[in-house]
Formats: sequence, C-alpha cells, structure tokens
Amino acid sequence: MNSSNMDEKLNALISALPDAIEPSRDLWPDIAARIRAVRKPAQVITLVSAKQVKLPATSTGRRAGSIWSKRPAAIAAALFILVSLSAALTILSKQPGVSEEGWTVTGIAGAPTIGRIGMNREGAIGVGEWIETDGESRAQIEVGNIGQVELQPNSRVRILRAGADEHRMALDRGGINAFILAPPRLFLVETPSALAVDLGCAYELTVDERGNGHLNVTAGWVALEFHGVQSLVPAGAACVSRPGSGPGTPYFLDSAAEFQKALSDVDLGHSLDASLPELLAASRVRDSLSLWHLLPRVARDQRALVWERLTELLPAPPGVTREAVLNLDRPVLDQLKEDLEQFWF
Amino acid sequence: MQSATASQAAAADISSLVRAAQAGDQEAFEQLYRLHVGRINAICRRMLGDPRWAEDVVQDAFVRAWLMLAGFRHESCFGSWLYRLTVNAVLLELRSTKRRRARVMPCEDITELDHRQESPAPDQALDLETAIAGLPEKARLVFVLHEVEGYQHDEIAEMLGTAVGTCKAQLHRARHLLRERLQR
Repeated sequence: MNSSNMDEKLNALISALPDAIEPSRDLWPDIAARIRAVRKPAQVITLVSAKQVKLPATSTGRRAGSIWSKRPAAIAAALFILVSLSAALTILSKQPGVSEEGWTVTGIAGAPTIGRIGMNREGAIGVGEWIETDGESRAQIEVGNIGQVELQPNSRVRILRAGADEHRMALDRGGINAFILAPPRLFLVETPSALAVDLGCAYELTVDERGNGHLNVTAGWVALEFHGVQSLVPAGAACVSRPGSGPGTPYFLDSAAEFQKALSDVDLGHSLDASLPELLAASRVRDSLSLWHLLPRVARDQRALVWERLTELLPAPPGVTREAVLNLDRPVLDQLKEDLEQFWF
Repeated sequence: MQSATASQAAAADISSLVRAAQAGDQEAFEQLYRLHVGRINAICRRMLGDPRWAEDVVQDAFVRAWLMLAGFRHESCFGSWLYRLTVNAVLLELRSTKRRRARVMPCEDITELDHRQESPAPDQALDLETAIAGLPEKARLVFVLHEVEGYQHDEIAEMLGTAVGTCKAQLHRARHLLRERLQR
C-alpha cells in the first residue's frame, strides 16, 4: 500500500473514532465527595458594588430596606452616583484593552481595602482599581474563570485588564500566590522588574522594597519577561528579577548552595571569570535548566564552557551541534530545551 | 428543523442546569457530569494514553469545573468551556507529575513508538486507540489535539509552550509512526 493510501486509511480511522468513551466505572460518587468537601461555587458580584456607592451596609452587605423608605434623598444620591459610575465605566470600557468585567474578592483575614474603602467579606474589583492588604489582612481574588490569586499581607495589586483574552494585574509590592488553570499567556502579572506570564501553573511571586521580584513556581511553568529577555521557570524552580535588568537565571531550589551563590554572582556580573567555573563545577543534570538559560546570556567563549559542561552532563540530542548552539541558533536551542526538559521535573 | 429545535432545547436545558449548578445545586451538576463525561473521558484518555490515569484527571477536571463554575458567564457553550478546562487540566497534570525520566529512547528515533503495546494481529483491523496510546507523549498530544479535536497548530503551540514548527514536526512524526503501524 502506498503512502497516499495509507494516509487515506489513517484519516478514515481517525474519522471513525468515537466522540465519547464512557469511563470504566461511575466517577460521580468520588467527584461528589470531593465537591462536598469544598465550598459551593462563589457567586459573582457585579462590578458596581456597595463599596463604590458608599451606602451604609448591614452585616450581610445588603442595604437596609428601612433606610431606603425613609430617605428618598439618599436613594437619589445613590442612583446619581451609580449612573455616573456606569457612564464612566462605559467610557472606560471603550478604550482599547479595557474590559468592564471585574473579579470577585473574598477577604480571608483582617480588613483588605479596595481603593481606599474597606471591603466586606466579599466584594468585587474592577479594571483600574487596586486592592491592598495591611500586615494583618489577606484576600483571595477569583481571576475570571481561570483561577485564584491570594494576596499576602502588606501587598498591593492593581487590575489592569480583565477580558476574556487577557487577565492582567500589577503587583506593586508584597506578594501573591496564584493558582491558574488556563491556556498559556492568559494571566499576566506586572512587577517593577519583570512581567510574569502564566503558562498554566501555581506559583508565589513577591516584590521586595527595592522592586526585586522573587518567583517560586510550585506547579507548571511561569515565564518572566523584560525587554526581550525571558526566563522559563518550571515547578520546583525559582527566579529573581531586578529593576532595569529583568529576570535572572532560573534555578532549582534543590540545587547546591554553592551553585546558587555562583549563579547569583553570574547574574549580577560579579567576577564572572571565577563564578562561572564555580557554577559549572557545582551543576547537576537538573541544573541544565540554568545552564540552558545562560547560553545566550554570556559571551561566546563563556558559552563554550557552558556547552561543554552541558554535554558532560548529558549527551546532546541528534541535530544539536556545538556550532549551532554557540551561534545561538534559535530552533536548535529550542530543540535542546525540549530534550533537557525531561530532567526538569 | 426538528433537529435544530431539539438541539436548541438541549442547549437551553444545559444552560439552566449550569445556572442551577452555579447556585450550588449539586444534582444539576451531576446531570452536567453525566451529559459530558463520555467526551471528557475520551479526550483525557487519548491525551494521556492511560485509561486509569485518565479517569483520575476526569475527576479533577469536574471538581475544578465545580470550583470555577461561578466564573462561567454563558458567553460560550458550556461544553466548550468544560472541554478547554479539561485540556488544560491534562496538560497541567502532565507537567506537574512528570518526573525525571530515564532517557530510554532517543527522541528522534522513529522506533520510539512504544512497542510494549501489543501489535494487532495481521488479520485484525488497526486499533487506532491503542496505537495512539503508544505514541511518544508530545507526538500523541499534538496528534490528538490536531487530528482528533481539531485545534490549529498555533493554538496547540500556545498550549504546549512550544513552536508552531515543532508542533507540525510532531504531527508529521505521529502520522508516520501510525502509518508504520498500519502497514504491519
């Protein structure tokens, strides 16, 4: 049978595949037990909420009916504010890249504030607004339908975009723990030193008082990006980004202390002639994550040293040549990464 | 016309089930599970190549769907939303559970097709499901997402965090391996 016939036969078999395959057993009892153990789906609160209207609220967050009946002026004022806010939001939503959608926020501890207004246990945050926690408070943000972000104490984030095609926030200070289940590049966090791009993952991201970002990935991948420099950080790895220079070289948290120290020196450009050999000597197979990232970040003669160490640790896969790597041939570097990735988990 | 009316009614039913589940009605969510579990299991099974593992991920996907249901805004079909969520759950599962695997087979070796899978007897029709399960992981993911599920290469490249060219190469490789299997 020739190749064309084989292709036709294969296509026919693909078309004949069933759409559905029933599981070998009823999975519902296990699912039901698991969802009983968690809360019911959070109710979505619309963007224009009590916090913006500044009306007195009961403990449940509902406006007391008696006040509505007794104070028509308050109703008029509230309606005026609502209409004004709606008009402002309509104008805002027409600007490119701005969505009118908001995110649900739940206070976990203390008294987080949205804008300058303290929130009830549940609230909503819209594009352009910021949420802040003090030393005692924490909050959880539902990021559209793709995941959650927990805001740590002493933190401040702004919502920059909340559309179906992109969810973007800025972390000015403090830290977040994010759990996102979404296609890559749908959730982004801007920090003073880099842009954290979710590639389907769970991670912690903090920003210190100098604006340095500290990323620690617990599941999946995160990319840190700044002016064309990108660091890909898988689960179990961390990366530091610095204002002006962007993301440093990612490293596994279980790497040797001397490896981490030497890597920090290399990233900062401290005595590279001494720190690079130290780093290479302390590297393991798994540290090929860092070595692969270093290839385009060091000069050609140093790149040759990194390449030699990489090939000592693991034979290069077919098609990946020394010359192509030293010339930073992008497809070859990608091929090398794909081959090394299996040791990064 | 009857068929169109029936499908509109079914969509309306699903929409009301989703709204009930969003309000916390677990029975409604169970009905949604029963309506969709076959398709969700099929994609998990084909992407993972392991029926038991697939059933674990099916559970994870439905639990995750329950947790995220509040954010579903009825702008798209619930099935599509659930389906995309499941694909992401499978990819996340693969990434997070992958451990340092011994380099058993060279990546470019065409013999990489997992021969542990029993070859069909010459007089038997090809069991395509088994052959798909025996493909190398990346080739299998690209093949299933592109050929079975209809995703475009750029979408798959984005999901897998790889280049479009790599996706195309993996698809070519998968088809080559499957054709070889067909010829046996």
